[in-house]
Amino acid sequence: MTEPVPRHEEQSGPQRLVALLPTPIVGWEDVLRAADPGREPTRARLRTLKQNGLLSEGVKAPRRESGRFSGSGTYYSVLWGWAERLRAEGLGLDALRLAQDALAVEGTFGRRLTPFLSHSSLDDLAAVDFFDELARSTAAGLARSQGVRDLVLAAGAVVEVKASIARIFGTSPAQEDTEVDLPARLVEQLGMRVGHTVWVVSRVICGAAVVEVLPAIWASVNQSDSAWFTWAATPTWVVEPSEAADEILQEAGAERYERTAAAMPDQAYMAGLLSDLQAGRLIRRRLRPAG
Amino acid sequence: MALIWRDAAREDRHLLQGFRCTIDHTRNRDGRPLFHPRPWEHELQSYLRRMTPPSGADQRLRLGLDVSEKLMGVSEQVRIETVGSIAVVKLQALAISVDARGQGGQVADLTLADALIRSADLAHETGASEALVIGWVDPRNQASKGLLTRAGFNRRGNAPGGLEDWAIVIEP
Repeated sequence: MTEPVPRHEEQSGPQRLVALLPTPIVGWEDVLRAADPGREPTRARLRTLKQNGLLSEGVKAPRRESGRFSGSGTYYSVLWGWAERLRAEGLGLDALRLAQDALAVEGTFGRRLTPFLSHSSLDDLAAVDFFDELARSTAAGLARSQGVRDLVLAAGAVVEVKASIARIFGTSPAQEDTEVDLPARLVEQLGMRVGHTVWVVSRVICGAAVVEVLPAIWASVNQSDSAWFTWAATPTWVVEPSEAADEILQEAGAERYERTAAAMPDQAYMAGLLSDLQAGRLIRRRLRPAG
Repeated sequence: MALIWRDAAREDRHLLQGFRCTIDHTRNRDGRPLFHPRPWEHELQSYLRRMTPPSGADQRLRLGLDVSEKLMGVSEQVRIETVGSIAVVKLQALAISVDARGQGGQVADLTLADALIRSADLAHETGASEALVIGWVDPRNQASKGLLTRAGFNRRGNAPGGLEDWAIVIEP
């Protein structure tokens, strides 16, 4: 969701593909929502899944704000959520394979994720130096699963939010251009706007259609990782070349800058800063040296 | 290069809207924008283009123009709070025009020097004698890190959002 456009295309060297996949690492709440979208995620439900051997311990990251410990977070490979969806659909074998893939992803990247997650938000995941490797491992698990293909309506982008309808253009697992109209409230509740990229997932539970919108992220993968959610060239539904498209990019860039580099420090940060000042840990410089 | 420095005024908005401190997005054959090679620069440029001077009482938005009135450097400072004799000032933005690149960081050094003087002014306005200036920098932004290092800043650690936290105390 953080990158409005593909990160790689038409570069020299071996052929690369752009891939749009669900954000590879998610919070524990997202795994529980995948397991049962109708119930609130609770720590008790999390414990139950773990006790039943259906979920790992995840990647634990102590949260640090301004250098100070401020609790901890538990994060999981997004593949756990997919394993839960498939288990709920009665696709036990497919779910088991995805759970094994999720364990492998966490085993490979957990130690590198911990320091990143201690200081940063998942919104910035694409900035880590091992992101393409992480995305590739996640994409491999998703690409292998027939159950995933059966549940996904489209990988695409929000192209319009008008009145009560949010319109999503994308590509279906059958690799056809697809348009999905959803309640605008659903998209807005997730903090998504025009230009944000998503996977739309649909299940039928007790005769009702349950639709999930998952934040998706662009990645660059090898030709050998080709799947229904990879493209050799930018998909047709990516923002059109126009002044409006440039404005969307500019607005997204400005908003991100305001949230990050231009954000106001919080109280914990200020306390740490003033503590460093009092301890003489900051360099001093005379602005206008005499003479 | 000689630059003329002044606070941004309402009529300077068009200068900011046309300011370029980075290259354009890479585009595919059809002209669709793809990835940006230096997203931190694009975000800063987008932020500056959206600014509407004049600034509030706790802020300075400074413009450095060459003799032909072309905008070459921009900086923004915000006073966060004053504690005793020291005011904490955040360097919100510092950008150099693409036309000023390749000159050994001369325009960048001048822009930062002006920003630090204005930070000290912001401190003095509240009766503080010193300014503790902080700046949050994208870890991939080697040019900014080099600039801050040349000016004497030191890195405190990490700031929120995966940024690096740089600081210096300016004495009169």
